[in-house]
Amino acid sequence: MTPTVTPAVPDEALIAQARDGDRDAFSEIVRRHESRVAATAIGMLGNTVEADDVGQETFIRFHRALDKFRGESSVETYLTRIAINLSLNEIKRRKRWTRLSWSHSGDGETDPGTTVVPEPSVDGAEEMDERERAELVQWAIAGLAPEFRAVVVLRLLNGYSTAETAETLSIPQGTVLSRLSRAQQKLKRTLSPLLEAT
Amino acid sequence: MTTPLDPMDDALGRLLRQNRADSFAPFFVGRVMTRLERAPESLATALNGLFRRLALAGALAVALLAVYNVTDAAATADGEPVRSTLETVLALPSLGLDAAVAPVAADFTEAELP
Repeated sequence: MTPTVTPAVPDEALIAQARDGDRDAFSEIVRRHESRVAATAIGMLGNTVEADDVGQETFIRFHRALDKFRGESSVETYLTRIAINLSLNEIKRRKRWTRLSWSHSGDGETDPGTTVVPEPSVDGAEEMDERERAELVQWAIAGLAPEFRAVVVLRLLNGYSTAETAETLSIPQGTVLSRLSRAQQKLKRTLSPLLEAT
Repeated sequence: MTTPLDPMDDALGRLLRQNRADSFAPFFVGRVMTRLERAPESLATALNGLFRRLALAGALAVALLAVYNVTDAAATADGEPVRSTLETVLALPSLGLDAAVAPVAADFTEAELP
């Protein structure tokens, strides 16, 4: 089937087409915003089946909400908000069903039961390839408690401002800053070999 | 709290962004579109449709019962006290003061009195 949309078409036009039942328009929306949703879901849940499922569910929910979407925030922000909420729900669900005993450290920022990414078997930063480095970064993020992880994912991975992050997570900006600071300290400790190599 | 000018923070931010996952497993768009086709309608939508049909059927039943009550009342009206339209439609028994007090009085039979 020949796509009826091009990358030049703005999101608003795609949404209008999708509301009228244009499947190509909606698949273009998915294609266009997959990376942001992936960064959010995989950042929160690791590169897991659950993250993929959250990604799919994010777009399904957006499709159901097309008629209600007024464009007050950008599509990307709207999708990120859905993805982060679904990810936090998934983490709660995981916590209910599994309580894993291991953690990276006992400093209170790690939330056992929410971390499922195994520690990468990497010895030296200079020997790492791109995939191993990404795994180590993912592992370090997964070692943060969900509330810290959400701030890191929104603020550092997705580049949202402190105000946007606070609004998305419905927390005060001061809380965003304090969580970010503590998360950064922990990440710097965990990723120090990589940071020193750069 | 670390200062935002900490070069390590910059390096950390860069490292995280460089290594962030940018895509799901291959054919993600296809999986979403397939799921969209198969996705059952939401519970709210399903209930909305169901209640609409139920409401219609209920309204029809109410109308039929009202008509039945009116026609039945017309057929059996001889000798009975005149009832209001509402009483007729809802088939309410005609209730006067005597009828309201009567069951109470019947409870106290002579045998039960001291």
